Amino acid sequence: MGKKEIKYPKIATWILTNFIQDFDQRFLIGDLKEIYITKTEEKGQIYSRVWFWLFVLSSIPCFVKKSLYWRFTMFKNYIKTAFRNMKRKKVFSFINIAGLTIGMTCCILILLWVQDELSYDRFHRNADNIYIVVSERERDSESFYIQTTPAPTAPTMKEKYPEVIEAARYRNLGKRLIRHEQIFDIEEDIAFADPSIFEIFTFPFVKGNPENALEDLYSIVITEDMAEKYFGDENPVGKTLFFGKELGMFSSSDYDLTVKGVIKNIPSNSSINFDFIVPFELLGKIFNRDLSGWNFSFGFRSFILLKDGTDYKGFNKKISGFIKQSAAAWNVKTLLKPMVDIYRRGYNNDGVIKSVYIFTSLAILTLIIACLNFINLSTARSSNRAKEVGMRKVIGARRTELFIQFLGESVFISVISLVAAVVLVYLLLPVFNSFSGKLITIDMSKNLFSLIVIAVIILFTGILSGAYPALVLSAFQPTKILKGSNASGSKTSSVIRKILVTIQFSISILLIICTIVISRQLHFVRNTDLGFDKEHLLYIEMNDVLKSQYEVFKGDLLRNPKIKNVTGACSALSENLNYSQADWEGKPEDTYLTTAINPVSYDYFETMSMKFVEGRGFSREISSDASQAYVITEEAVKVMKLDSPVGKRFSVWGREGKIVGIVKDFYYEPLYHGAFPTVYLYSQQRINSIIIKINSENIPQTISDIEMSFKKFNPEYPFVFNFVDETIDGFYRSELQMEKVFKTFAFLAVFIACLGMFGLSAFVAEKRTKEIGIRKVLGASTGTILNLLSGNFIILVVLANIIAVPIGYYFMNRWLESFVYHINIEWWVFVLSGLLAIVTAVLTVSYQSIKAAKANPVDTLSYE
Amino acid sequence: MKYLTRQEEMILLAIMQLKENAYLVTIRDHLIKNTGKNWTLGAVYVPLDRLNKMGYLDTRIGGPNAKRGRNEIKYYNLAKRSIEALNELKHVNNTLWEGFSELSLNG
Repeated sequence: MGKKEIKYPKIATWILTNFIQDFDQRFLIGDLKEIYITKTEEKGQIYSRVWFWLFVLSSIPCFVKKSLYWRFTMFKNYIKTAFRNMKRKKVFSFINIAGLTIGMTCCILILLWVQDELSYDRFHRNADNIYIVVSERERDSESFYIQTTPAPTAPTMKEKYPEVIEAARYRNLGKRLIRHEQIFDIEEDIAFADPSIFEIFTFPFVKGNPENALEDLYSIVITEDMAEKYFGDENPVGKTLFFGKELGMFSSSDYDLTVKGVIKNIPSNSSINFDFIVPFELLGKIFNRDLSGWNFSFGFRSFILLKDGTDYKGFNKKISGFIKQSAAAWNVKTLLKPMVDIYRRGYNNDGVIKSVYIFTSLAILTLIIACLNFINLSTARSSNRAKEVGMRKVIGARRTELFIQFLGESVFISVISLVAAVVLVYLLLPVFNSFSGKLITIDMSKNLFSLIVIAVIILFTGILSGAYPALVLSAFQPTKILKGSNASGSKTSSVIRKILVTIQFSISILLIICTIVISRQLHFVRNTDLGFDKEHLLYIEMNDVLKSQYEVFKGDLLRNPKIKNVTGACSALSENLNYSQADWEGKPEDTYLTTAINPVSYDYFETMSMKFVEGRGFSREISSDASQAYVITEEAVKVMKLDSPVGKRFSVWGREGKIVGIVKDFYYEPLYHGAFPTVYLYSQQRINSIIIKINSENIPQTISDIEMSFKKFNPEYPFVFNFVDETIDGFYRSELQMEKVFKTFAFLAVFIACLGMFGLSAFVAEKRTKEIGIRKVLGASTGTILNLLSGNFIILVVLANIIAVPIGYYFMNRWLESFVYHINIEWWVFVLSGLLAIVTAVLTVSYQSIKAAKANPVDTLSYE
Repeated sequence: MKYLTRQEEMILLAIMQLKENAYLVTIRDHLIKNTGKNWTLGAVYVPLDRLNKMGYLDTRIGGPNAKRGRNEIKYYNLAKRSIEALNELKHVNNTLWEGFSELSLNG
């Protein structure tokens, strides 16, 4: 018969097999095959193949119609079932949706934050071609990078290298008074830059022209907000703005500048930020410095725009000796770094990318907990639907169809949760923005792509979470169910459930541990003895007028009984410190001491409540103190290795003198730096800030008293002051933020885990109602039953504890070691977090358990 | 007063003539040979299935033959109901067609 020569059209047959779902399928296929063979014998293979395919293809529309119709009918049924199921078990459904929604909301918010952080500096038109010049130095055989470069770097680079299209220097500097007619204020966000800055960066001009904006030396460009502040509705272009003297500088001048342009407010995701920008050359005039020298002590950021398509790495090889050539003393390698990388990675791997990783992990963890919740709850109450599954199977549903049905229900719930999450995100966005210091908006045009990605990811998680319960549900065997035995009685499913709960609680406990450690570390840092008393200490940066009247002002202030002490200093904290090398009696050749130098006025040490180890402070009575006395910190003594330093010769800045006192170390930022050797000397002219120690009572009144006194001497000037402890807190802004974030996430994680446990315990209690009833009849007390029901869960929490503790210990130790001063993690931290978890778990479980335990056996057993 | 359709009638008659060997393929071939029209598979199967569901036919599953590999053959044969229907039909036809001879139309 030569059947081997004849090939069946396998593909067409396969199509038919999948479409014909009748019982007749095999017979029809057989009939077709027979006809096919016959035709092949009669008319040849090609003819019969064509016929076969035509047959199949022409049947397809009908198949599709039929199958669509049936699918649609089934779909309606599934939806009906899903709704009815949700309505019947409102509490469960609510818990499910709530848990998933919370997880999704966190995830979305975090992802939005991450997206914002990663988008820094990308909004410029030439973003990919903008680079910043970085100097690489070696210290202790490690190279580190600094972003400041000598002033001539940028213009020289532009001249020398054809790849450089534009170059501009930039620096934010100073605090000064800005005034237009009646409106004045002290402004800090002032930038000095070359006019080509507008060629490199894209700052859209609302008024005025970027081409000539900063060409004229006495011009200034301001932002929209500033235009409104100083000029109201008028057009500022062409008008004059008074540019005051630099606060904190000994001799600077003020200028009247013409406003040449107004730019749109700079978006929050920019690492270059300013309210006012003036030409670079003005910097030299104001600070009386020569800007043509190659020195690093007065450095600037240099931005370079490279020609499109230039390989910057290759360019880096060319320029690596650039600065060294022009200033041999500076042994640095020069290279370019892409602007868009700077915010993320920082200059020395200290960029935000670490926080990004941490927060993303947090978001993922929360989402995982929510999903685990979902899986657990769905699987647990699956036995409620056992009868439905049994009936469907009996009628003829295949396992795949059931799987799709239950998966569809999970997807449905995911979609609802997603919608709820989106709504929540919208509502929470203002709170989140103020919390994180950002201005995140859901701007459809910009974010559309990432929003879709986020939505897809989350939906996907919903589907994945739904897969397992769907699998479990579709696997029920009708015989077992309809006989009445326990359908989900398999050991494996309850074990998996237990594992999931344990994982949830491990994550929660881990977060609690982290939160506690972070809080304690912060608490420790903020309350460490900084070497001085930072409470109720405020400082005012003085302008020239006030400086010249310092003694009178001080006298006036001291008349107020609420003011305890007044003094002056060059630098109230660390903002204005000078650094130099010190020389002393018996200094060995190879020992160097770089100290911080803070010129101060009389009464400094008393006002700051600094403690003396030896000797004394500067005294009015001893005339030589004013020109020869030095007070140094313990750390300095340590480095100098002097035995009895008091009375020994000492000098900085070529000013010869003697040490009159040793004072305890002054910490600027205890978390980040150790004690830095500091030298104090008396000065009248170099005082920048006046420091005032006030009484703790009625602070607002005291402040307004000070303001009145201030206005007496300086009516034209805004009264701006700062509290020392607030400023110090500001140094830890990111750690404080981290603490808040961890607190929130720990709370959320525990909350979601408890939600899950609540549902689970309800389910378990429900299942065992009969058992409980019988036990009660036999004489069990409420307590015993409580024990019985909660016992299982408590063990899981304890287990979770054991898992979380070593992980928490490891990570927290690593984090703590990155700080110079840190606490040691005490044992009670772990106990506390474990207890917290156990207590919350017990509370959650006990509600359901007590309800079940109190049930009257008459009711529960009467069902039979 | 429910008569069989023409197609159903032809199929039943074909099954009668094919006796033990009546299944989709053979019925179709028989009909094509005897009517000269090209019966599609659907034209045969749909009425066949309908007749089966209405109870006019009995089915028997037979073994596969060489051409169709593993698939069995579903044979059809006439049930009591179809024999009665055919009888009635024959009777009615005889009555209505009486007096017709092929030449008589010419005159």
